[in-house]
Amino acid sequence: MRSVAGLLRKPSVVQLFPGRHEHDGDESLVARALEGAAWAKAALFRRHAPRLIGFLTRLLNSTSDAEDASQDVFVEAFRDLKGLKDPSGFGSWVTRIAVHQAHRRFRRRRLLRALGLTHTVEDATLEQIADERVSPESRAELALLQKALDRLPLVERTAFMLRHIEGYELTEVAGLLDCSLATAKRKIAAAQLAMSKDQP
Amino acid sequence: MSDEQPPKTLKELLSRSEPDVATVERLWVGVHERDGERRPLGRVAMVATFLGVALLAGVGTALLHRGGSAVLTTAAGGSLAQELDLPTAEARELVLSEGSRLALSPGAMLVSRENSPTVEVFELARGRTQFTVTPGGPRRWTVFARGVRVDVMGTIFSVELAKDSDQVSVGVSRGLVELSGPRVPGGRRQLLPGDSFSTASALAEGEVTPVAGADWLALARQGQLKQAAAALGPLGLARASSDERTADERLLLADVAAAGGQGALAESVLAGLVGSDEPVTVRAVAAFKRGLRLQDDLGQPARAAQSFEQAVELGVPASLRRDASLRAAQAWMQAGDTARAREWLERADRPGP
Repeated sequence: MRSVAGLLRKPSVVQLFPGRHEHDGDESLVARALEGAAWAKAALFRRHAPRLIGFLTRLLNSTSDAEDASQDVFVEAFRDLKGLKDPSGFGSWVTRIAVHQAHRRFRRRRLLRALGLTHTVEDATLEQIADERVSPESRAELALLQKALDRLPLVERTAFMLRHIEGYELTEVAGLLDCSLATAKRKIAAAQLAMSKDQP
Repeated sequence: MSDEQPPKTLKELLSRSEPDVATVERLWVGVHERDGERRPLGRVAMVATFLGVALLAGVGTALLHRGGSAVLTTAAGGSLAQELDLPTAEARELVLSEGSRLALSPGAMLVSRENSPTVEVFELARGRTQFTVTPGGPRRWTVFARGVRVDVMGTIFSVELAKDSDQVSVGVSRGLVELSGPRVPGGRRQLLPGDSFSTASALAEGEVTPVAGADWLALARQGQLKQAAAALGPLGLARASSDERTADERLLLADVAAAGGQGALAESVLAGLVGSDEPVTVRAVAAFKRGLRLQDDLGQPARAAQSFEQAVELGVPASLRRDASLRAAQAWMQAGDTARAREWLERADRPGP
């Protein structure tokens, strides 16, 4: 199996929103949801929630936080559905909302931690959610990576994770962070620099 | 992990971050409840609400005395969703608890999407259904059909999906219906008795360009399913499904039909294959794919669950077995049978056949 470091050096190219090309029905489901069809909302949730819950779990390192955040994401999405300009892009739209939700929660969490009031149980750190068959060496590498990520500023941390853990393209990272391509590149480079300085 | 493909991204190493079906369903309940949350009421609104509740209580009592029930059932008290889930090879008429009637044409597929004391929502997935809605009932009736929404008061009307194209036709015999949706010119239209409406069909617009069968097959074998569907067009797909074909070609044709948005056609091709004399492994794969169409395209969870179960019983390949069991569990959950959902979740976790 390739090492964690190997995977970081050569992030593979994956589609931004997996499944977008396989599920043509989002457009009509959004239209029906806007017409008041609750089942269409359920279908949208069942289609996109599993991917988003996994995404938020990796981002937030907490299953309960990820579950809460995913509910907030869809409540917000259904509330603002009228503002969605391209219904076929529902998947990418909710992913962007998820990134915003994660940032909101992280900010709050860091604030509570600074005040000594945090109650968040981080039960989904990278080494904890690794596949059971991952070797002890790789698991140790994941634990080091998690520690390095925890020391990064919020946006740099997210940019790095989107690029190197989730596998998004640079343009896609920029889209999810609502920033320019140049800014996204800068954030990722800054994260890499900080993490390389962290290495023993 | 040495016997599998090496991971391409770090995400693939983090498989324990993926939620199970039960978690997704539990979270949906929370979203659904919060989505329907009401804003805080002002004093005037509270008084109005109190009066409204009192009035509704009176109406509700009157309805109960008339034999009304919380949700719509068949006249015999059976579940409407389950009754509609049965195959409809022949024409049949369902009489409902409040006196309304649904007349389904042979092969018609009507799905009950919502059934509550105030709302009744159907989706026509195939064929033709005539709706005779008892006037003055407490429910608002809505029918969806391929991008056309039909809102109903007390009336008699029919909705029909063309067999060989994507055309939707609505006709009104009595009362009033309102059409809306992306395929209705101007976005909205009302139909009075004697009026009828048809969406422009792909055939009429000259969008269908049927090509020789070999072309679509070549495209499909290259994995270009959408291109294959576009090459065939709705009419070509229907023709191709009636031709003599090998099992492999029929499986491909079902994939092409699904990619072309013809889930019902894909399902019928696969149903034929499941009931054929083909080797049991082929029939098992066809049953699995049929389950996907019923669950994902046609919104029929109970039938989908049965199809996934059939795939497992027939001996679906090991690579699909766990997926089929999980899908069965998910479909049973969607159909409201949590006991069977739990049973299939346990089977999914069990090693071996």
